[in-house]
Amino acid sequence: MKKWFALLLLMISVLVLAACGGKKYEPLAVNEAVDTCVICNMQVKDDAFATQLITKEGKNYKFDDIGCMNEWKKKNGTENIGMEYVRDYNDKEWIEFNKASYVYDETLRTPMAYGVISFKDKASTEAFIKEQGVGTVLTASNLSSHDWKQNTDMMNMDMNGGDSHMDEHMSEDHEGMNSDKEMDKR
Amino acid sequence: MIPSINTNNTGTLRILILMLFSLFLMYPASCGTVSANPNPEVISLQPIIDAANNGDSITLAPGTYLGPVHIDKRLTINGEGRATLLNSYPDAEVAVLISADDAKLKGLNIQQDNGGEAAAIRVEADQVTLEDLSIHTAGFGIVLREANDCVIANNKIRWFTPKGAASGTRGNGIDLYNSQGTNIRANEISYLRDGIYLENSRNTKVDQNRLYYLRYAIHCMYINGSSISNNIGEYNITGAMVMGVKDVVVSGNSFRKQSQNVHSQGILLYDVSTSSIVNNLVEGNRVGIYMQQSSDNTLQNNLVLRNYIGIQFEGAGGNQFQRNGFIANVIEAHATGSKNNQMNGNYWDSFEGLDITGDGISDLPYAINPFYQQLITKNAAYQLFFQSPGMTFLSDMYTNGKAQWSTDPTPLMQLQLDKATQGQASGGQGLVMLVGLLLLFVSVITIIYMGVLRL
Repeated sequence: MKKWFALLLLMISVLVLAACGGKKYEPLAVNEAVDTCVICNMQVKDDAFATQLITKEGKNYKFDDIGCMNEWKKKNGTENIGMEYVRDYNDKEWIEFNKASYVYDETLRTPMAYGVISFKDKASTEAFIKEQGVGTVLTASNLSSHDWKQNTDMMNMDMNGGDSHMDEHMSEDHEGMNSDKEMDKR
Repeated sequence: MIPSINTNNTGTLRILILMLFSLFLMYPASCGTVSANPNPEVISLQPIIDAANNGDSITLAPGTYLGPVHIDKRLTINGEGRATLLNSYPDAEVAVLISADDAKLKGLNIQQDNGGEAAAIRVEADQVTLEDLSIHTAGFGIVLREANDCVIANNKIRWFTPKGAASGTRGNGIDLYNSQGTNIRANEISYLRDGIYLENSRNTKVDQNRLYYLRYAIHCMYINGSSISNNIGEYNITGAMVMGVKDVVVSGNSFRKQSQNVHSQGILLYDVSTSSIVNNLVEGNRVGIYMQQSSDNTLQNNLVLRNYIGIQFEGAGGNQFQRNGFIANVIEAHATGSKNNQMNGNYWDSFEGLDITGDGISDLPYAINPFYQQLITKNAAYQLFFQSPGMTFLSDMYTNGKAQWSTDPTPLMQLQLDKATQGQASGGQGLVMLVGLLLLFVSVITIIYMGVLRL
């Protein structure tokens, strides 16, 4: 009798454990040495621009730019996707694609120049826009109607606003000088 | 025993003292240049620049100078190779900032101790010349922003980790953003992230650079109308990463020995159109030429040697693909989803052609079977079955949609190597033959005289 009971207990625990491990799509850490973007083949840097999706079969695809993930969805459809993850721009935490909040501006520099950056909440989105002086807030559903234009032509961009993203290290006087130059041109 | 050690010790001590003494005697004589500057006295460079007038030419005396500096006048500064500029001041992200058009910087050694986004030289002006510089940086090398028509030539750029600091992220050697018409020539760049990174910079000329131990030797994005020619890249993850461009020329480059990373390539072309990729040599890479989502390009006279995969097409259509030579690659070509390519007159060395007419062109076509590629794209673990009898058998069985496969209808029977590559392909054959004969001779002698005895 005791034997049977033990067996029953084992079976129940196995069942419970199996249920726990059910459909759950965990994000994987980025390994810069081997991870390349499925679409554009570039190395996936372990930075805020990295994204990933997990298919219902459990396959994981990583991308260096959210625009590349969009390309993948265009090619392969979205029915088979279990979960998509993007990262918070500030602390690089993985967040679900649908729960994230986004900022787009053509002058924002991202690895493939799509200019879309993700944040975990709306407040940090607004703080970012305030700091940069450019950008529009988008939600995940807005992104489906976004035109995903890559900024390949910076000829007519506004220098004062756009450059500051990658060049946070520029000291005050450089920026002053930059705007001086801009004045000269006008 | 002990006394003997003692005497030995005093003996060595005496010799040491003598040597030290002689060193002191020799010091002033041999180090004439250093003695002028006995305690490495550091001169601040900024006051010298501030004192100069527009259009002046400054020749720096040999010695060590302190950065950071801001060149805001049309100056020519020449260090003649013996002046060194140090930037160890942690708040200064740029060692040399150039914001004056037509400024020239020559023959200066620059050491930038700051890492991350910090650059040794940052140019924000047009027609600036940077020549014969030797740059050691913990971050970026030369950065150009909104700087047009500059010349960057004969510079040496290397990455290093400053003493006592943890090694940070490597920056790019030469990094252009939104800078048109720059001429980047004969630089030597090593140990950085990307050797030459070009983004949104049109009509750039990248010529005769030597690029080693980098992530991507040349990485270009959105640089229409540029040319990448005669560069040499070795031991990088990828030689040339060409992405999102039109009307670009990639010619005469040599990308070799790029096989350390699982994603190594000689030349990667992604979203490239109406460009020409000609006369390149890709040797010993994991993938020689990888072409993806690219159309209407010309690939001619490239020599693809000893790669794991010679050429890989993915979604590449409408390209001209002629007179390329494929020799000693493990897999010559992969092609999936690539239609309407004009492929003819290439040489595939593993292909068993048949030339009845005797015109040097095989009468049997060469078709690239996509079976294996399709299989491993779906599940990478199937690579375990590479060249297994089953895989070969299945590949041969698979003829589905053969009309759509990438096919070379007129493959060459013999490859006419041009002069440039001939030496490399046939060099050392005589020696190999001689050594082989010698070995054969020795083994025959051994077998005849010793083989029987041993039984």
